[in-house]
Amino acid sequence: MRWLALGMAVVSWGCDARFQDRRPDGLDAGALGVDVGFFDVGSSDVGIGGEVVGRGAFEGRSGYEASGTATLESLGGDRYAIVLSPDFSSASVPDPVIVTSSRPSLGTALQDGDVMVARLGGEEIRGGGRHEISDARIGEARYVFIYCVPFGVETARAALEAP
Amino acid sequence: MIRAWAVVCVLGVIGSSEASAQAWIRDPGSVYAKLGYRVIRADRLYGADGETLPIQPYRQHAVEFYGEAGVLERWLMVTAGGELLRRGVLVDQGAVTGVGDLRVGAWTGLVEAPFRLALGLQVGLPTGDPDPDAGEGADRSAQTIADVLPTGDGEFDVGLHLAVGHGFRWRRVQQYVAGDVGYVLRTTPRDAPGALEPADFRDQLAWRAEIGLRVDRPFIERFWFVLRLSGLVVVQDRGVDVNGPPRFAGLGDGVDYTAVGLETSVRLGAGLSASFGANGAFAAKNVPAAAAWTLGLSYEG
Repeated sequence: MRWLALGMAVVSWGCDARFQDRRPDGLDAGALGVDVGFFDVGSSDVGIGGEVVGRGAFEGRSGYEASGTATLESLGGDRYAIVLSPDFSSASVPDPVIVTSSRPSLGTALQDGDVMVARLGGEEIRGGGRHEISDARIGEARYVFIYCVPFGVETARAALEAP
Repeated sequence: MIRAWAVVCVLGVIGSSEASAQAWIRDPGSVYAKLGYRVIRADRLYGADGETLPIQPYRQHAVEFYGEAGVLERWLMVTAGGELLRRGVLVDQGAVTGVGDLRVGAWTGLVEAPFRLALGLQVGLPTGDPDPDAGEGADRSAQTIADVLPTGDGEFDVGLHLAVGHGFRWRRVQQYVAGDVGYVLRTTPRDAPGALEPADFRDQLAWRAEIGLRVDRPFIERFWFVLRLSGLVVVQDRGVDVNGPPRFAGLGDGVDYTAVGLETSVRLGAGLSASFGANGAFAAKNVPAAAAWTLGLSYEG
């Protein structure tokens, strides 16, 4: 009876797996200076109407299709917003995130200077959204990417141009 | 070209040739047990649209088991199987190790001649971890990596299967053909990675067809050679394929493939056999694109 109860408990709750961080020393998010606090910002709708400092149309990358535009707004100080247009769409990949960078290609790993702005969960991979973040490095950004961090895959890119 | 070369891991659904022969209901007291090891080394992924794209190198190691036991002559055979250990590795990113999902089933014989026909019910148990935790103090990037390396799908599923088989001999060649088709009712997982809400998995149709042969010549008669086709098809259409929880490691919603496999097994004696096989697909969604290599040791008595 005790074994049956134990078996039912295992089935009901499953077994927790163990994670092992295998990122090379110095490439973890903290060391890179990559701001990962953005996840808590999410796709908030707060803050409207900043100064538009850049805008670009998304193009598909890595064989994927994409549509819509990204707009970079300055909200004053080191606060910025990335605004995705209502016709935005990108490929369904695991855990897509918005990344800004001055590099034309991210490759398979982010580097110092790249900023992850927001995680696109659920249906946010399609449709408009507004994502705010405080990071002065975004002012240097020339590109907005939709990027799958674990796999190091770009699925969309928008080259920002002055309005 | 790349897609033509890419082959996909076939997870659990394709077991050993003997393990898949549920059309033959074992006699009471007759058992079959197999312990296997599977490895996948992928640097491409089949996306949700069926196209492949490059990814960070991915490795998957699994220790699997499968067992059958006859209970009632012709009428009842029970089965159990699953991944005792599953380790997913994204090179230079992270690794997750844990118990995988298990599956239990019961089969009953409907027809014994002129061919075998059996009806089976299989239940998938969510013993794996669908939402691995990166650990206390881990940064969000580490958690994102852990999110895409689940060891289980997190949901109960029920499959109703019909298996057919027929063995025959042509000159010195012993042969069998076998097939299986089943409707797999998927449910809602108990958890989903990240902050995503668990969503219903779409039902699937699982199918398999295989042929095996053995040449009755000295020494060679120890070997079975098996050619296998199999598939998993999503049968519910939600319209737009929204981006839900990560569907990468062959687990979760929307896994879809058509695969071919080759396997050879050699009888060692005393009821023991060793096997070696490779599985690959020519069309798939939401799985790593790479060969799955298997080694196994089985006992039949």
